[in-house]
Amino acid sequence: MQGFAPGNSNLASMKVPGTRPLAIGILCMLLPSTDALASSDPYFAELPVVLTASRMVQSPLDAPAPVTIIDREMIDASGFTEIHDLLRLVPGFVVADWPDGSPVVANHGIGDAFDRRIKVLIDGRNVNSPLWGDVNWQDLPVRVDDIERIEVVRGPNGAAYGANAFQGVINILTRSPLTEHGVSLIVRRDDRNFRDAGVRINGRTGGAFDWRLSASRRAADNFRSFDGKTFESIERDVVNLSGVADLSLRDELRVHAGVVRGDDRRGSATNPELPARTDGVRENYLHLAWHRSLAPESEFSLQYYHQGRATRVGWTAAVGPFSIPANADADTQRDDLEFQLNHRFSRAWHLLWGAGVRRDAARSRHYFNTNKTIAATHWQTFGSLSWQPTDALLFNAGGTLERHDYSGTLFSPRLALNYRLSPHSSLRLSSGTAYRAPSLMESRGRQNFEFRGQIIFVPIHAALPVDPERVRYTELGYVARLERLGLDLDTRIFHERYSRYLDDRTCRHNDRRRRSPCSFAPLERFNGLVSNQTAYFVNSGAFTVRGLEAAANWSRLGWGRIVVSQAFIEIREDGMVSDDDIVASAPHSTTSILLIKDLPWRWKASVGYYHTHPIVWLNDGDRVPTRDRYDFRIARAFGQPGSGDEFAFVMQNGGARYPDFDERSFRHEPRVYASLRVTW
Amino acid sequence: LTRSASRIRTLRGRTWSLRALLWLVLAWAPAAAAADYAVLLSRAGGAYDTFFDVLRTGLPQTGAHRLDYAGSLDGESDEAILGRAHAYIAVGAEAAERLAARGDRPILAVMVSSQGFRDVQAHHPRSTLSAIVLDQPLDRQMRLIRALLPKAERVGILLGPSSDSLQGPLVAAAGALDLVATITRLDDDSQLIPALRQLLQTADVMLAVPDPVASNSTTARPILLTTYSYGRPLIAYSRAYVQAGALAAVYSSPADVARQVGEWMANQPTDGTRRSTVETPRYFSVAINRQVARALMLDPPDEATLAAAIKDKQP
Repeated sequence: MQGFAPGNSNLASMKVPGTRPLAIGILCMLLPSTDALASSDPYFAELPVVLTASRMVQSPLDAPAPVTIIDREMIDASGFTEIHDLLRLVPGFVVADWPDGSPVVANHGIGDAFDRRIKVLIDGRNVNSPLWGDVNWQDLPVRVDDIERIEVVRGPNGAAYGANAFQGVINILTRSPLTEHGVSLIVRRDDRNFRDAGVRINGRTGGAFDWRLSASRRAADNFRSFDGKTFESIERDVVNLSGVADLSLRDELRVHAGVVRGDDRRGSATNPELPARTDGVRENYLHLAWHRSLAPESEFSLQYYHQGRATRVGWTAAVGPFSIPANADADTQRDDLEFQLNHRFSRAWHLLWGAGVRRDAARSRHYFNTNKTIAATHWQTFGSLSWQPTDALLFNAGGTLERHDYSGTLFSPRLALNYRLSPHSSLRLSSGTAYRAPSLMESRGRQNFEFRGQIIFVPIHAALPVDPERVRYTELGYVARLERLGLDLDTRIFHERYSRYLDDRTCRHNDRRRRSPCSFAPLERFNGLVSNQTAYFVNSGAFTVRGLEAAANWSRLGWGRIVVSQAFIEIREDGMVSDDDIVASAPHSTTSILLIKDLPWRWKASVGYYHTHPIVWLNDGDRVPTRDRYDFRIARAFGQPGSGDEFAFVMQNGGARYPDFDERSFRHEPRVYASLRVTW
Repeated sequence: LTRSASRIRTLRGRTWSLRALLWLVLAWAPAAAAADYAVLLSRAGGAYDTFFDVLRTGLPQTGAHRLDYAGSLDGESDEAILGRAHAYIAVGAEAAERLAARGDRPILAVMVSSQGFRDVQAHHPRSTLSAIVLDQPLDRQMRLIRALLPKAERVGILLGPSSDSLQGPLVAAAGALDLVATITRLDDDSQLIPALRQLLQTADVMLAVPDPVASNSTTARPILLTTYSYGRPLIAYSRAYVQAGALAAVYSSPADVARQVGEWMANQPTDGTRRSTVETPRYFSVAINRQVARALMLDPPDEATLAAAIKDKQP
């Protein structure tokens, strides 16, 4: 199931230590021609191994963890244009957006503005930020049009993906250039300020290098000023190159490279401390992965990637009589090298193991109070052994051993048992432990504002040592394919015990009234001109999350498809929780229904229904009441059948504004848009 | 197909008594004179070598026919052996092409596709060419689909210019098992992806049919990836295709072909009769890709069980 286990990131500088769009051109020249593969006798012609383990989804009947797949058809039918929105289709997942930062995705509660507890990978490359550990969803270098499918592990999976696969893993698999053709143009726009235009060009060079170049530019007003709070308009340019080179019948090189450029207009029309400003973001990445087929069910992979991200955030805050220039620039980088071996010894035994090393680096005077680059190295080795003594029984033992510079050595084990009730249904019992290592900000953060050589405010000072968060989990699942009915079922009950929850607390330096004094010294040059209050991190609290998830997927060729998900979640505390909001941070019930109906004359209609019980988003967020959201899409294909040519109309949230992340503060703008896709 | 046979020509026109004498001799020939088959491989190694090894070891030493290895096209071929043979066994289309160009002996082409064999025939219409082709009977392929996917209703098939003639037979073979064959013809591979997508919108399963345009070493990758992305199984025609990612295939292995060639030789008259025959594979194997089956949540029986299940019904 895992493409590549570990990984992580973004990053770098406006003068980003650039991605080195390596010598892809040279590569083309080195490639052998596939003519060598041709034979006049097709029956004995040799062929490369195409569907390797890394290309396929593990059957949910055999998987040691609960997995939801969002496939191409669901992506199209949902009408979502942003990747994070697609996660509304996953049982238990909740999604929110807010104007002061990235949209957020949470699973099983404790969601806040930095969704650092879910690991996100794109083709096996980890894109969680080295700074906060969160995901900058709007800056991802792929668009919904690039995605083949998203595999979502709906719970902890440290055993396969290492630390930070804490409340789930989202593995985004992009479309292979081999499965597209020609040139496509995609345009979406609404009657306000949503503009999205993209082009996709596919080609083949040197007889053995298939590539796709995709580029898009989009702009949207996500939030307008509401009740004096901030607004947000975004602009993004994304360029991506994706290539697959056949080096031989057994060897394949996958190349991904891309650049993202963005400008966000945000701020408040009424708050002089946070006036309207433009935030700049630049990202780049290069990802090389070599896959060698050793045998029909054995594969070796080696991958390297580099990611760089630079944000440029500056404004002038009017605080009392002062005009204070603020600068929150940050540059981050990640380099990651990993190998993985997937090997089936026999029908009964299968092994996956690998190891990797990663270096995260960040430079930001604002966040770390130094002009130096802060770097952290992290290595890990992981393995998963499956043993199937009989047709019905499958045991899986897996674990990851890792060492972080700033959180020590961690071991995340898991044991799973899958029992086949029939050839098409099975029970799964699994139990394990997973960790979330503190992010750079949580372990080394010194967020500060300077004025005239003095530090006037320290919003965050990670002064105390903190331990990784831990979750111990057990779950019982039932998965079935009812072939006669065309129905797939996936349901489970789970119990998760979280401990060492990393919370932030506030304290004051040099407070005259001695209110909550800090137990640590202030930064040098601190004068507290704006505020003497600072936040720090501590391991605090333990709580239990339990619940039930269920998903059903019914389809019938020619009729259409219905995908339903439902989750009931309860967070229980036993006197060890410092923040009462934690208990309310997961909605008791979430539902999603996606109905896709094939209609005559090449029309296709879909309806998405998303229900969320009240939820409290922690820290920067707050309560959001019960929400029912309806999305509608009607599309008609034209041109050559199978070409993908299509026009569509989409109405999101019934065309109405809706409260998001904090009902008192934010109203997300609706979107009613038309789209056109033409291929030639 | 014997030396005696060529002698017949030279005797033609002579006296009836001589001819009667000759027929008498021929009646005893199987025991008296072994026929020499020169075997020429298109390439040394791989499946062709396996075929020859199995054929040689399986042939009775005392039989009426003798095998002589005449080499391979990519190595050295032994002119002396070719010169004294009564007939040739050409292994692979290239060898058949080369030997047919000589035009001096009857040829049995083996390990060839029917398309490859037809091409050789077209190039050398005067040659006496027989073949045991690799193309599995269509009904056998449909039986495999039925055995693997009892609920399947529609089979998607891509054809190209040279396999277009199979359209009618494919529809008929599918219909006999309550399957509907949905067929798209490609004129060139530029429209491969749209054509595939169109088929996959309605097909439960894809069947790959060898064709220089629609299904070859280059198109295997996009076909496998696209078919998988729709969650549909692909039934292919070779073991290599199954290893590449097809769910299953019915195919004749070199050993299967060798067995049939052995039988063919045993049944050859030594009286010089030259009839061109084309046989379809009598023996076959089934290959399953377990990894792909698991990913598609399928649980097919083992290969031997499947092979037995799709055996031709005895008349």
